[in-house]
Amino acid sequence: MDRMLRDKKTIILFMAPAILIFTLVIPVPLAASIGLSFFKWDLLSDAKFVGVKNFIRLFTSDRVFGTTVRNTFSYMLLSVLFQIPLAYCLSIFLTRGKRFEKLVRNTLFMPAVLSGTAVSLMFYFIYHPEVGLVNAVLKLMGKPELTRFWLADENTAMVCVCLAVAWQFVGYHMLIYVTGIIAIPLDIIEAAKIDGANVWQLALRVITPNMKPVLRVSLVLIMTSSFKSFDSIYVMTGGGPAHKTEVMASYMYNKAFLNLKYGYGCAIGLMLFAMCLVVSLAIQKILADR
Amino acid sequence: MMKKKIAAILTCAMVLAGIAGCGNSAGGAQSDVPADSKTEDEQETETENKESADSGETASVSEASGGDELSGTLVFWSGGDLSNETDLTTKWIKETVDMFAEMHPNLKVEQTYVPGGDYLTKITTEIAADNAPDVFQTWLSGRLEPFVTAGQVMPIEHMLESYPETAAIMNEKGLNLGTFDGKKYAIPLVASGEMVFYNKKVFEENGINVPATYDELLEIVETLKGKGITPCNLGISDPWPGTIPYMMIFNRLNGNDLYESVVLNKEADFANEGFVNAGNKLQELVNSGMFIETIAAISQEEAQQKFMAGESAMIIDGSWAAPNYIAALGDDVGVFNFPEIEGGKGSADDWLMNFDNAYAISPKTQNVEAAEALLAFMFSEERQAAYAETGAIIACRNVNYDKSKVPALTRDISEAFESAAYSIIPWDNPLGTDVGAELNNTTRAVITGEDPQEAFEALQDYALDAWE
Repeated sequence: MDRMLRDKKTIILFMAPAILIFTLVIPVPLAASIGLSFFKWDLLSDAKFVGVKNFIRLFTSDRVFGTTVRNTFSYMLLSVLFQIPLAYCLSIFLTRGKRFEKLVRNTLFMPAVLSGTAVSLMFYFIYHPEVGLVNAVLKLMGKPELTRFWLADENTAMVCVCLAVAWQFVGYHMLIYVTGIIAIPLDIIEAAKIDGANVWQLALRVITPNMKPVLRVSLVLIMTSSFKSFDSIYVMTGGGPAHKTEVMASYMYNKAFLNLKYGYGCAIGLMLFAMCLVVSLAIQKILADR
Repeated sequence: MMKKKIAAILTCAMVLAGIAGCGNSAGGAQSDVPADSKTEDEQETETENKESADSGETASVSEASGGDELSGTLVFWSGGDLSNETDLTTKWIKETVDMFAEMHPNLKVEQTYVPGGDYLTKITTEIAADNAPDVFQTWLSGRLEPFVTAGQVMPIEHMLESYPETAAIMNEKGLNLGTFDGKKYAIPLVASGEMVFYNKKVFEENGINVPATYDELLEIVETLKGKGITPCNLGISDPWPGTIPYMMIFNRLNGNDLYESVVLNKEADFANEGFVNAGNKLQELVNSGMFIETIAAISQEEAQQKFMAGESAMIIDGSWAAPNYIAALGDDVGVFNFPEIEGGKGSADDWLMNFDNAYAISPKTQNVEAAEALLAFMFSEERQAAYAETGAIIACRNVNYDKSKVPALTRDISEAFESAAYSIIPWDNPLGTDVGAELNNTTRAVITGEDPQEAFEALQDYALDAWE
């Protein structure tokens, strides 16, 4: 068996499916959309070559595109703020070997396996101005002046969407950290405890320095998924009110599939791809082990 | 060792089978509609039809049409949801196409229905992949134009010449929306319009009448508010319904010249004071308390539910919602057009009217004869009468049908359309999906309190860019 696995032919045989899929399924559409972004195409008539006109338009006359870039970044920032600190604290409190820890961990992780659409729909109703939970609770607490149309209010829509997304994924990132903490050699922690470190000191001085690679992974995951975010926005706000929650992915969808501007949509997609790449490389660089 | 080898070979076989499986399913998805239970049902019913036709049960029908010579395959696509009981249009279409298939037993008719907003994406993808259906649902005016310029719809002149009975019931106004460079491309199925629906019982109980002027409307709003009743329902969480009152006010204030030049001829001039003034007037109406307080946060579907539950005196909506209102409120629901504004140039006889659900033939069809026959059959007097009797407002004219089968409200609406002095096409149609959607965002912004001047200046910039 061992010899067979070292045989080049076997290696090629077993790697062929993956290589085939990766070389065809990923680069071909990518190359096609790079090519298409230089065309004007409505799917119905023949594509017309327009050079870099789509890109010029994106950066000069298209006002909405700038808004969507800003929104994408604020979505990313809010997601990081809502998810990482909370998930980190949870992971530290849930790895102290106390009772019911596993149960709590599993419960917190559960939303991550739900479909994003279902969660978004649930929050659509939680934020609903008339039948929604949020306004009902505010009224019960005697603060009816605080009630608002959460998802239709330009000031709250984005925050509300990001909170819903955070609710779903906090458990997921917590679990990443938990595995990271568990992977820290026990003797380090034991030694710290013997030296008299309290919970805070343990968390800050012992666990955190060892968590850098795990934090990096989770940061990259949150940032790239924020760039691609679409379902939550699509279900909860549809990009409204007044493009306040329109992100690049939803804008790309609208342009390509609703306005039948496939070339322009591809150009937006390409920008999204480039930004994704730059941001993840930047994170890797900044958080690299020195 | 032998066992291990066998295991390795089996693993390889599994992997390969997996790849093959992937390949198959991908291929299948391209050549057909994505695995959809409805499509399967569809195919089942077709085979049933074919069998029943073969067994001679429907021989009389096929004799009547005298068209057994049609053969080959005919693919038909339409938007619509067969699983939705209240979708009477799709039910009627299916019935019609089924009848057509029965009349032509040698012809294999494949029908596909795509529910919801996916139809546009699916049909354009299908056309791009050179799989255009022979007969399919399309759009009119601004939305049909890309299909025409791309040569993806066939002129129907030949069909109309071959089937004079169908040509006789055509509505010129409707056909005009599908006419480009003097050639007709698509036939609309329904006439629709947007208006104010009101609850007669609520009006009576509060001693109010249908308003003849804008000032009377404001008085009604005051009266109803005083009694704690929501005057008018409207939901703009998806912004398009907010444009309906805007277009009405715009007409009452400005008449139709500006609409014709800017909206129909796309001469971008949205910062014109005519547009801004209409925005101001709409804002005034909103501030008077005309609309439900949660207007910005609820959908039009929710607004409809509230109106049907008697929670408001009025709702602004399209005629396509009339069957639901009749079902919920019976004779208690009536319609009127938005009243005239003193000093304005428009008129309450100008109706927001449109034609919808157009059908066309693909120029790529291999079976022109059958495609034309199907289109002509859908738009035959017999089938149109059957459609009208479902309570639909048909686009065709001079169709004799049993009017007693049709609810009074539907008759009222049809008559209003026939007597209209001028028909305004709801703007997002001629404007096209892009600027049309931005117009809806603009009226939404105005309703939620943005300065109309700024909102329409922004729309002007957007339109200039989009139409360059």
